[in-house]
Amino acid sequence: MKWLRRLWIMFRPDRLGSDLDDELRFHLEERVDENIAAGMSEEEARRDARLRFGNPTLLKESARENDILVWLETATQDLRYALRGLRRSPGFAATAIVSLGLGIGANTAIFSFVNALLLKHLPVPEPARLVQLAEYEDGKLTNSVFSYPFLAELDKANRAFDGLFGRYPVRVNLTSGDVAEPLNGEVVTGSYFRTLQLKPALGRLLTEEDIDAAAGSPVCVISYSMWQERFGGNPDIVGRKLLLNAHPYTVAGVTEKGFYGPQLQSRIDMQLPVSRMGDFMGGFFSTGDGGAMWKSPDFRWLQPLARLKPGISVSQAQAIIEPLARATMRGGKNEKAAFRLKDASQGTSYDSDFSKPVIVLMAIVSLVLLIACANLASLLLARANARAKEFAVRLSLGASRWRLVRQLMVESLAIACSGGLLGLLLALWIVQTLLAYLNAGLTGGSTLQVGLDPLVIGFSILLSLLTALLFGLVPAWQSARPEIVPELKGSPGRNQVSLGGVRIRRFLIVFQIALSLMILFAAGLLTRTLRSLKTIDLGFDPARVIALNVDPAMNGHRLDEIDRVFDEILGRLRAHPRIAAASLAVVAPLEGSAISLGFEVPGHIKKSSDVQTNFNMIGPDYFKTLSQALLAGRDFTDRDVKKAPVVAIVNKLFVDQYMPGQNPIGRSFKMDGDVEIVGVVSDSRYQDLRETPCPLIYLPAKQTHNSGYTLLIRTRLESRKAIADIRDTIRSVDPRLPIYRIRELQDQIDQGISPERVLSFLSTLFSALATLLCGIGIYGLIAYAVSRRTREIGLRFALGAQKIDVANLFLRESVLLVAAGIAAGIPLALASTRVMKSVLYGVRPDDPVTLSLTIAIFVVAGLLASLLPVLKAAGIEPLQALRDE
Amino acid sequence: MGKSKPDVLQGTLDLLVLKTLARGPQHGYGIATTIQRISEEALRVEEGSLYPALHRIEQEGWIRSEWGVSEKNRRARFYSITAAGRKQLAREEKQWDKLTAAVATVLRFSEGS
Repeated sequence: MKWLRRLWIMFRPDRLGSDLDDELRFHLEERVDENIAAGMSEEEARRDARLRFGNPTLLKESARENDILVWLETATQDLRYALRGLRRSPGFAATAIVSLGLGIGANTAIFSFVNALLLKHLPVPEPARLVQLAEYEDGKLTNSVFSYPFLAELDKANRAFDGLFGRYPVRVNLTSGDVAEPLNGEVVTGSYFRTLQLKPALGRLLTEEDIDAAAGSPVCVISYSMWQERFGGNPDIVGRKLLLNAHPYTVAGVTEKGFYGPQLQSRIDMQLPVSRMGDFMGGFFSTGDGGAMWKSPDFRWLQPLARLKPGISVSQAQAIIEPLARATMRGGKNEKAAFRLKDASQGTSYDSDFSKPVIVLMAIVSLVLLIACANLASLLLARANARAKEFAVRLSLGASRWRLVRQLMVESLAIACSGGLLGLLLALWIVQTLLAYLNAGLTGGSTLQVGLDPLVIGFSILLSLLTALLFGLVPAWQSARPEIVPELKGSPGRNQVSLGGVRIRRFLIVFQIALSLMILFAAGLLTRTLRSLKTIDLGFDPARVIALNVDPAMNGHRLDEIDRVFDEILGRLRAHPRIAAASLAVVAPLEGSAISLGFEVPGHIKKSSDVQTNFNMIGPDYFKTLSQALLAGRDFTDRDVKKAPVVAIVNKLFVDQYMPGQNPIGRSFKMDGDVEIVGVVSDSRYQDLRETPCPLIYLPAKQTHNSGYTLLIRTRLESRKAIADIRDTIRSVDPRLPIYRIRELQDQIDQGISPERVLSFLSTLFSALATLLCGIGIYGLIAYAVSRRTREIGLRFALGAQKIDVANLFLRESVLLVAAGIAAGIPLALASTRVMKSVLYGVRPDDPVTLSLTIAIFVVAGLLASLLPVLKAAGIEPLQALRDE
Repeated sequence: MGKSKPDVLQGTLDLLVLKTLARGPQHGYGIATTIQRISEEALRVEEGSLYPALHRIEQEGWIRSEWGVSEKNRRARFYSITAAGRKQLAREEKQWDKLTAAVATVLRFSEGS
């Protein structure tokens, strides 16, 4: 009520300014009249009337102080004053705003990635109640996929969950006419939508009945975006038939806008009944016994996700689930295995490749911001000292300290806001550039949604305000209490404030150098990591090799036709004049996928690590295509088929480990039956760039069961130009064959180290920024010292000092500062890099070369930064310096 | 920045202003002279603090003001008491009575001993 009334009074138009003047004038006139009536002269009467009043200006001010409007008025006054002040020293303003803008921009940009990668929740009601089920052994994750009957039984039996479902991502080939369109889908169990508590935007969503009924007339649910983009938002979509992997499906409904499946990093556009898994896994799973595979208790393949009942904690739920899961698992093959629930509010996603780099970057940019803020504080202190005289005058004229502090705070707030605005623009640019870079070479599929959402913008506003408050308050408070008398006497530099200011500024510089050293060292290590990764010997030559995926099962080719289709494709490709060699493989090199199987080498005593090794199923000419050396024996040929003797090629590490010192050609190892080794090849990286090469067994593709392959094609000339030819050649075999993920192998490998690339690039950029900010700080401090001691320098010159002596005076200061900063920075740097060990490769976290280089850079930067002011000091004219004072 | 006054004094000024206005609308000058006249010159309102006080009391909602014309045909701002102001006046009068009674008791006690 009171506030309302105040506000009302505030907006009454007749209330302020001249209004009060009129009232006071009336009072004075009345008093004058009375005084005259009492016998005073007019002049006396006026004087008396005014004297009774005291200071009319002061009176007016105190009368108006009660108004909110007045508060606003003084605030705008302060703001105008601050802006005027900033305009008057554009150098100071620009330095402050730009350094803060860079700091805030970098932070906002990286935070928007943190937000997208680490903070986003699934767009479903109450995501905090979602949990993931996994099996652990000795604290290590051993299994996170389960069979359909296991999940179904657990869902039915337990009191802890409001639903538990399983899902498996699949590739779907949507065909209409002759156009094939690959998209990402997932097969899901019946409790999927019930557990996620999603509502349809249109039609209905899948339920348990759809799973059972799927054999006859299968249905699917599509995403809102797909409905809009692919079907133009046409409401007739419900009930429409779609041809998915050559099987007819009916669209049952459309999910809510913004939902792309329970995995945040990838966009899933379609949910399909789990019982139709065979349509999408192809080959074996679509026929005979394989058709019932999805409900086999031995087939563990579904990622589970559950919703806790309201009010049940994760640990309570775990206590309920644990015995139940054990009982359900039956024949509990592993006594040590424990079932654990973990938070899934961010979906079933695994750690993104970028999670760790982004955290490292966030740490780096917050340090950059600290450095920028230290600069700001230092600048404000210097500025406040330079204005000490002005403040002294204003204080002695009756201004209150609070008002001075407030004005200075408004000034730093103005700087912070401008810096924040600049930072936002900068962040927008950084995010866009970075996204463009990250998405280059990716053909769809990525849904990394990075943008300046309200959370990010709020973050940068908060950052701006915080910096203004933290780094404006101390200088403001400092400068609002100068010793009035000495300042007015014109002897700056002797009072406590200036000294205190300098001491704080020295400390800030040391602090800045230490932090920058830390960043620069980290950037050095990350850059060396990238170089190590780039120069790794892959064991094959990825240049001019194109990889692409074809899955004939996806448009209805039967298992027995598949080999024939691939033979046809490879035959036509090899005949093409632009193509040097072509082959196929189940595991494409360095994609992160692997096949690991058990085997036995006669005469070799097994250690626990020898039970399984990595495999690849390949076609003839694989090694020729990848330029991998065949060391002994022969390559696979078209005659290595089902009926022929089972053969294998192994790599050198395999020979070293299992048959050291022996000729492996002609020897065999056991899998289902005996497998004869016919060739030995050189070692190569298999799954991941960073791995240590391991023993590897290659089997002929035609002696194993596979449906989809990655085709590998070495082109004669520039590979990009051959892509259209390759596509045409494949289409000439079957125009409806889905071809997806066409990429150059080199690009794919580069893509694989893009987190390191980004990390190295950005950390180098940010460390350059930090070093620059440091340089500015050192420059500012030395320049200030020189200007403060101009008279002293003049005196020294007058008394016979040489230029070199004066230069030394200031050089010593800067060298001391840099030395102190480096001394403080080294332990910090070494401590911090131990934390980032996990993102380093091929370089020790305390690499002495990098450290020495870092230190050298700082010594040079420190000297360069102090060069200008030192030269200025050496060039001071003694007479002029003394006269100025 | 403003002149600070002891609370008692300021509170007293509020009471006097409200009491004066309870007799009828007045302009600022009138309030000052009325207090002075009625108290037989014993209480003199410091004119410098009167207007800030009026302004503040108005913001409290105890009085309201409007422009009018004085007896001498001059434009003047007239203040009048509001219902809330009358309530406040009653409160302050009671408090004042209590205070003076208390002070008187103390004084009498000192005399007696």
